[in-house]
Amino acid sequence: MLRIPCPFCGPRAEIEFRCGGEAHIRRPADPDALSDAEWADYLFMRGNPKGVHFERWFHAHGCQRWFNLARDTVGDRILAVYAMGAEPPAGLRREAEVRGDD
Amino acid sequence: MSEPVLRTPLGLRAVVFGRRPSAPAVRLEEAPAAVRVGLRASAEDAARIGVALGLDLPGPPLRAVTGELVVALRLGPEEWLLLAADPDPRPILAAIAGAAEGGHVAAVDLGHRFAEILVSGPAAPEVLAAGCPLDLDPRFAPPGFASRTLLGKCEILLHRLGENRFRLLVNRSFAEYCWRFLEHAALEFGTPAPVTRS
Ligand SMILES: [Zn+2]
Repeated sequence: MLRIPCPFCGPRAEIEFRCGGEAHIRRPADPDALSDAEWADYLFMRGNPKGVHFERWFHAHGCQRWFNLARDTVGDRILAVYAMGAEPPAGLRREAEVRGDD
Repeated sequence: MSEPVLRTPLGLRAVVFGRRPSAPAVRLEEAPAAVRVGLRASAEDAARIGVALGLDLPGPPLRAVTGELVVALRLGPEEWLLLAADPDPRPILAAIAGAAEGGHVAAVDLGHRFAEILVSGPAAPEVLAAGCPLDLDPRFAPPGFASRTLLGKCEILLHRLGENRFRLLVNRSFAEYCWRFLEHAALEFGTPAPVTRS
């Protein structure tokens, strides 16, 4: 069980949350221009890094707000929590890029 | 023509648990019908609505703000639940409508959606801890604390009224489950005895 620091509610049990999967996946600006393979890549392919992972969480049984979270998948350590629409903290972004976690 | 009768989901039942009847460890009771209004608004709109209702809104996160007529539970950044003892929500909705003029506000009468269960007594925090993932230590959840959370498999709104006194609001279709969950947890603290209410 994770203890997840909700930006509004503070540290709460994982059972109150829903995980929304990988964060920062942008809908293609021009979907008609995509090949089937590119569209499938957008819809279905996700990273599975050993290390820093950026993901979306929803505090369903709490404040009912979405937020982003950076988690180290090795030890399940939560590294940062930041707002929807915001970029991940620069240091963690560099770490993820060095590992090729993108 | 007979008048319509307002029935609460649990028929206002009440029960105490304890080893000594004179000093029960925990008491469960359903509260009577009351006003519950869900409010969604920006902090600025909420402040104006607060003035109309005699409340200091938006108020701190996960806390109850108490006014003369209404208590507001701040459940989210832009979400409050307004509670009042008089079961007629119309004066409150009218006051909100007046203050919300030109804003982007939703106020919904949720009075019949919830059952309200009061859990009190020295064992009350322990009974809730049987199914609630919150840290009920008063340092984290002091009297006045209010939040949406879980009890067993059902969602509840928890409002701590005092150190050993809690208000639970639960969707009415889950009321029976929630009640039986609490009864089961309370059995640990003694045999149940029904309470006759006036
Ligand atoms: Zn939250």
